[in-house]
Amino acid sequence: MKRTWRFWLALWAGKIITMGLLVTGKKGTTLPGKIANWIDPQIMRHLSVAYTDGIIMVTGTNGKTTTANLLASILRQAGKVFAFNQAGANLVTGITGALIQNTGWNGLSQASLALLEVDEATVPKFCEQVSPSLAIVTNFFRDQLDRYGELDTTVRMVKGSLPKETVLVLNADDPLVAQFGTNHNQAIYYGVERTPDSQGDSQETREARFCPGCGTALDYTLFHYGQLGIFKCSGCGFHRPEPEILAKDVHLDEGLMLFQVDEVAFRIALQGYYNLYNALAALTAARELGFKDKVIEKGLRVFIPQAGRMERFSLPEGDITLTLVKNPTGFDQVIQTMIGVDRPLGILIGINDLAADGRDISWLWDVNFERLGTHEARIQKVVCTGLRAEDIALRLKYAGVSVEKLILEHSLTGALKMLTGSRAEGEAWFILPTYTLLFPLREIVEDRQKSAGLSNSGAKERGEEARA
Amino acid sequence: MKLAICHLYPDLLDLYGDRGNILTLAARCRWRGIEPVIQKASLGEDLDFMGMDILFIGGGSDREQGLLVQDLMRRENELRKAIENGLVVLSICGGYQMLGKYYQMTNGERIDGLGILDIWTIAGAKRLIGNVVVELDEKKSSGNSNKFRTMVGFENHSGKTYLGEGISPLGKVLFGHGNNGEDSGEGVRHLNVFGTYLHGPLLPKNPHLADLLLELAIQRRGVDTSLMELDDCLEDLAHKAMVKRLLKQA
Repeated sequence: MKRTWRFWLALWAGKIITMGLLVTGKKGTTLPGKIANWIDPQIMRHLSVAYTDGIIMVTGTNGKTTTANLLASILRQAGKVFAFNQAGANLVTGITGALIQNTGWNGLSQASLALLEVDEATVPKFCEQVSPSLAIVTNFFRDQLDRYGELDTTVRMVKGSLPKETVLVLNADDPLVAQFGTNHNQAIYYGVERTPDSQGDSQETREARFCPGCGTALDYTLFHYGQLGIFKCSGCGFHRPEPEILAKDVHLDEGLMLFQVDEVAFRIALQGYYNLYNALAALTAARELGFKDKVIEKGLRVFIPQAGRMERFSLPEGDITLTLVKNPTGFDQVIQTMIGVDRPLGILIGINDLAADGRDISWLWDVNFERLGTHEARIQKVVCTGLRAEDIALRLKYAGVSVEKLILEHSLTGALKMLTGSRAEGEAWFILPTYTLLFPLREIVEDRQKSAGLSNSGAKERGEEARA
Repeated sequence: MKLAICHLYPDLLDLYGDRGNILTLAARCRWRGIEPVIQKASLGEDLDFMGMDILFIGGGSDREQGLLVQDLMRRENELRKAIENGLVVLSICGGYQMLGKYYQMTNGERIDGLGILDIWTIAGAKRLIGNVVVELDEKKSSGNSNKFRTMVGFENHSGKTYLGEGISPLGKVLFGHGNNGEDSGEGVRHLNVFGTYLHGPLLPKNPHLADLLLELAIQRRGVDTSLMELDDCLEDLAHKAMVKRLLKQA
């Protein structure tokens, strides 16, 4: 399709606004993208034709940002230049903004490859204009239902809009994702043999207990987490596809996760088995793009987690781990990680219910807080903050945490003081905010770390390791 | 004393944290020395409605709801008898709609409901989503623990429910949409059957309703004991925080 005057006007307007934002010291791709789309609603289509080596799309409920960042780390190791919508700007406006940033005033792209994280609900709009060469689908979990209606609709929407010629990189262990490969030209699967926590029986909230094809209850021989596992449908024969990329010998060691794929040993500086899937998704895509295992291994190894994903801070009183919580499966994994630490626990939970958090907070009752309840003796305190501080406190009361250990504190600075004010021998501290509380809380913790002359301990160690 | 609480089809109808209602009923029994016996009933399983004390029916996604209407139809007679005998039922969203006469889809096709409640539901074009505050009808909600006149929760439905002549809503919507977004009514009570659109989940932040259900169940057993008072400090704070915030917005 020919580029029209609308396109040039939209591109230049976008670029001028991007520059304006830079001059005033602000970062942002949303505003330029918004204006550019207003001028030329087809701008994504026009911008996308410049990427002759292809466009890689990452979508799904959880792990989009981490997967995209892991793949970006591999691409950098390989010396690739690529367009990237960093910082989770994954709606039409943010994607357009990122592409504009990478396009010159003459309309030529600086990179021949693009790596784009795309919000599930945005996939139809995106694929209407852009035909990705590779699409990674991570998983589907209940997430901000109030925004999307129901999970079934989301899955159907994404599946229906992916072009036939796109190569799919699919999570074999998630039935909702694995079904994408049925009747599709080319699909590559990744999966996990077992993790130390895999079980024959799962008590967690499960999304897809029923076959996405025929509605029969699925039989599982193994659950990894959530509905992820080794499944089979007795009704229509749909089953977990044999993964081309299979992680074996998965284990944890001092904050690192180690695994093997085809006799090659990999490791990532991330906790939580959900991050294993993110690494596998990036690895599978990288192999499909033709990169060597040596490059992939290094790209994964040197990766430094981004803001608020199991991020570690050092305060004079002790270390704090900060991690975003946004849905039951993610929260369950965090609880499992906290219990696994095997120390007394001081926890700060911040729950907001603004649009970006999800207006409906009922998902808190789908989180398996009862697991914390069974380790009640180890809990020193839980500080509850945010617009829904009372709701999370109430949830914990019904999960078996004694009311004396629950502290309601609406001020964020106050809440952090309550957390760090006293410390039992060996007490581990965790801060678990929803999205709109993540950055405000992170800023407070970071400021305190700086004013004490300390540095972000986890990142420093990993930096040294990366150079070694 | 034991109370038998049945969670109907939790593997199918378990959206929006509705299992929180069961957790709440169970905890509020235990804290009073009553032993809750929870039955999680699956599709096709034997059910003794007459022997239950409280029946809970939650909401599910459209596909899952379709699967079980048929299953319930087979048991309609026994369920109806138990309800006439005073069985306490809490039905939410999809569960509430299913107890009515029918659900009319956008193409005009009607899916039969159980017809236990004189209500019917018409698919709407717009989803009614958001926080809700309801002022409860005194006659429908009075029990011993009568501390709130309000009910708070979160609604998320596209069906609009209308009530027949002889039946009136559980209360009046002060904030949000309610049954249909038109007549400011929310929910229904018929005998000891409660229907509502409120998730949240409903019972944790509305302890007065949780206790009303428990009281009615105990009364049906013919036991003459009033419920022991509990320390509801956190429950009250959570309830009042939402009422205050939403009515300020209204």
